[in-house]
Amino acid sequence: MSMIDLRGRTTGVDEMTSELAEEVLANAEKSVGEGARVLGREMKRLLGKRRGPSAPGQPPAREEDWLWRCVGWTRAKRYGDKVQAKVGIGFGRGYSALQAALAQGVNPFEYAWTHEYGGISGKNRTTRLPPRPFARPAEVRVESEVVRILTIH
Amino acid sequence: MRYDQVWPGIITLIKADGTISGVVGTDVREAQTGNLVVPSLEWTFIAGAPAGEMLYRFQVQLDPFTRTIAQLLTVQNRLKQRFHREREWNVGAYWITSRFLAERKEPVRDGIHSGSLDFEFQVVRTR
Repeated sequence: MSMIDLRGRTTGVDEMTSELAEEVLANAEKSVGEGARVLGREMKRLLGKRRGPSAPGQPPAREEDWLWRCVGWTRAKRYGDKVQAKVGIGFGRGYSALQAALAQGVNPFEYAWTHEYGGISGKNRTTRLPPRPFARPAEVRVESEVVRILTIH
Repeated sequence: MRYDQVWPGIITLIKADGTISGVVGTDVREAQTGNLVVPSLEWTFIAGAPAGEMLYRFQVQLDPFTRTIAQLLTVQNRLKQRFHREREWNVGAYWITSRFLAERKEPVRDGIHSGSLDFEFQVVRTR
């Protein structure tokens, strides 16, 4: 009895894989971009909330308008199989405000750091500047929303 | 549920801790603008999760100020030991979980050593 030899060959698997990867990355770009926008907007909202002196633990008031203007976010970009967007001082629309601040001799990064985490100042280093955070509260407040955006797509 | 219902119980624990009070004494207080007291331990409420999340959680920044690096490390390590826990534990009427999030070392200025620690506390259930 002769043996029947069956042989198969698939074609197009590589094309299907690349199409699928392209679709996943395109969706990821949308989600990551949207997540960055939500976080950036919340940071700006917290920074723009009040005027006048701010209490310790509260975000800095918008007297320092340029800190509000320096906050921005980038569009999502692909880096190989990773997708990344950036939020913070000097990103996106915040870039020109950052350049303007630097031209005036102001270091927005140092200023933002002192607001966020607090510090010690004064001639004899005896004055305590308590934290007036805006980045960490924004992160906590939008975390669940961003997780939802990143998972439902 | 609010942070001010849970946090006083945690402050009581910090004040009663022999290792911490051995370094900072009774100067454990909320951060405020003004003269810096060394040694001391200050806290700042950073944020509470918005209403709508199933379990209430909040973040606090703790800032020890000491005269030597050894004292600073003693306080920091003790805080991590006390509040970075795998299991639920109870504070007064609440069962909570707590974890260490981040730390930052500040440059030494005029002999003052400081480095802040962030912790997150989450209320799991009421007793």
